[in-house]
Amino acid sequence: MRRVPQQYPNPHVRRERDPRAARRQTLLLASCLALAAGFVYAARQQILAVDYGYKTEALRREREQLLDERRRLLLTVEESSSPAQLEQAARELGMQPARAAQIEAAAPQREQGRAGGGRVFVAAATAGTVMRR
Amino acid sequence: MVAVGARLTYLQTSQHEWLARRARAQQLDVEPQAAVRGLILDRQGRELARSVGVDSFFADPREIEDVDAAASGLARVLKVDQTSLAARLREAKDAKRGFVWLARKVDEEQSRAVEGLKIKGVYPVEEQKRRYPNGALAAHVVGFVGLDDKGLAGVEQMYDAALTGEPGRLVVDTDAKRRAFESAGSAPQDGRTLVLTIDQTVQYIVERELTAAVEKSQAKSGAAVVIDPRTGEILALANAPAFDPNDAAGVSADARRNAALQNIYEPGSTFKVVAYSGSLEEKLIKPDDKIECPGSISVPGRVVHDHARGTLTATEALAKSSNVAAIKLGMRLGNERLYDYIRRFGFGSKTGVELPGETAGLVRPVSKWQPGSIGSVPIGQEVGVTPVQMAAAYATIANDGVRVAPHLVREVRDAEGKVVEQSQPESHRVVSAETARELRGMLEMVTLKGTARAARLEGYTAAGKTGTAQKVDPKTHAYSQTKYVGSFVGFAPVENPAAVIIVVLDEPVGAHQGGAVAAPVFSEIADQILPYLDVMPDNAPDAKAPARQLAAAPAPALTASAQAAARAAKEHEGATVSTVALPEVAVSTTPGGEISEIVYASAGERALLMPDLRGRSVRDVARVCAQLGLELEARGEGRAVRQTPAVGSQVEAGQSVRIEFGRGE
Repeated sequence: MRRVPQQYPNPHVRRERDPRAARRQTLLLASCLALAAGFVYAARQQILAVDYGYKTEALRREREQLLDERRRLLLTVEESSSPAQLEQAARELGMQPARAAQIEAAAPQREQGRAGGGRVFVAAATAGTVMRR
Repeated sequence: MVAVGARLTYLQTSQHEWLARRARAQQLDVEPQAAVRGLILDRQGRELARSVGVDSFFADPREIEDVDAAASGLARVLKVDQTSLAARLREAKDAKRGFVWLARKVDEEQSRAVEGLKIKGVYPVEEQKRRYPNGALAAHVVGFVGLDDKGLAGVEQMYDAALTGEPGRLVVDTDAKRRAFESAGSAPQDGRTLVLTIDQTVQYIVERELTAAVEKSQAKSGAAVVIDPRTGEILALANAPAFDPNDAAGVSADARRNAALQNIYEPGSTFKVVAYSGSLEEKLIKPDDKIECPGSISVPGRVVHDHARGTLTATEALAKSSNVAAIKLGMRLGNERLYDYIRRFGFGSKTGVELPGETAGLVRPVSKWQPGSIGSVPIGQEVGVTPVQMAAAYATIANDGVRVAPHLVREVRDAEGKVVEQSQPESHRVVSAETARELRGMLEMVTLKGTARAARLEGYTAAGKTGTAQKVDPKTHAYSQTKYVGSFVGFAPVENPAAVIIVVLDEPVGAHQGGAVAAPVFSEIADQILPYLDVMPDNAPDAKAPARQLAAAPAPALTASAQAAARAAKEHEGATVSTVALPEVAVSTTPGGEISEIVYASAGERALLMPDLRGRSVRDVARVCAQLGLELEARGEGRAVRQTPAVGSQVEAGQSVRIEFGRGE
């Protein structure tokens, strides 16, 4: 489309609509919008990625701390249930180590030597029972 | 524009590497990821060693403005010398060094205190610290690690590579505020888990009784080992004195020495079992065959004397620990065959227990024997053994003649818990099952009628042999008249042994015979561990002694929890549950005070007769009183010499009885 200089108005000249130019403009506009949207999306993704990165790193460190804490707590459990501690606690509860006199065979026949776990009972007030955990 | 373009080109081309490096240094952090050292567990999965994260602190002296003030605060919290700390910081600052260790692996409280000081230039760094939750328990087995987490003793040293794991490395992207937002790298591979054959409870009982025996006998040291003869698994391995591996740095090398397999001693009479087993195996004797024991025997170069005299059966000779009989049997076997049996039982070779520094003992080849050696070797002289070797030899007899190599490590698991290595101990037959059975019967007589009556058990049959060996004086190179090694090695129950126990006491003061100092320890240990191991009694409960007065003892009411548990057990299994329970006992000692031991026992209701407690040890008396429900007031130490009320007097449960103990009366 040729442009007519403004200082030479010519009312008889009619500007014709050029559908191709309109299409080109629309396409250009759409492309620009798509590009901009892409940039915005990519930027948002990047920001989200960094944000998730921060969160992931924080969680990773928290996990390490919790694992450490778990190890410390397990250690405390072990310390609290050491045989010496258990014996002390058992004795405070009035218990004593099991003696042979406190064992009887549950099965009809008295077993000789080592007996299976299900056949032997120790009177419950024994440190041996407690200490077996 | 040209200038900007030129500058950009310059920076992008000739300065690219330098700038990229600088950017990486600012944006990237490399974090080494320490692998957590593997666990050490007992056979029941209870932890014997574990690593936990703790803080260490370092300083960048260049950032510290007031060195003296910083040193003052840090020294107070870390409990170090302020002057030397200030000097170290100042020296590093002058030398423009950026790293000085302040304290390694501090506890949580100290860590908080240091952080509370908020000193610029002081930074924490996390490290792993090895912790042993049971303190000194099984210290000689577990061992310990150094500051750099390297195993320095015990299984910590033997399995250091497996326990250590593989460290990882993490590259972390950080922002301007040093906050991490991305990381990549390799994760650490935690160390493997070691499962030992040790049973924590058995170990505890053994250590407690051994320590008590060492204190009581004033011995220089003691060692005890418990082996399951069927599997060769070592259930307990103890030395006294022990040490706390949590603080191993301050312990002497002597205390850290594992005498159970690093010290050799002349076994004395416990070694006679080799000559006996060889003779039985070769059909040279039967247990009932008579042996003439005239009280002495001549061997080349010397005359060996004996306390046992007369015509004795082989069983009696072993029970009475006759030297002459053992030498005669050794002579019948001959040097070569005797040596062969010694080696077949494992003496003179390392047992292969997974601990560092094991010694093979001392067994000279026949070619190096003196003509008079046949008068020494059968009675346990001229040979050196370790307690573990001796226990393994008796385990062979207990296991129907098959020797299973003693071992300490059951399995190795990876970080995910999968078993990657399992122990497969070597086993071989040493003597026939018949010989082993005959020997067990003969050894039982040692505890019933021989030198080891103190080794009898409550409710179980027991077999074993005492040993009392004179030590060689390093100055005179002759046998000392004052230094002895008293030992006892035995097993129970006799027909189906569940545990072989050896107790060795080095240089006990006063009574030094194995039957007097070591056999009672065997008894104490076996009496406690056999019920724990679910071993059924194979003997009348009061067989051990009227001593224990079980028959006379009233049966106190079960505690509520005991009754509940008993009911529950009965309901669940339809079982017969013993209603015998022992009363509470608490022992308190007041060193230096006149009253050395007081035992409080719960009161029952029924009256009973006062037993004769004279001649018994404090421990025995305490037990009897506890069983009878009497409150004991003990004075002095040693053996009971006087008692109030008198023997046969009527006493009531809960009544106070006074027992005076003394030595040498």
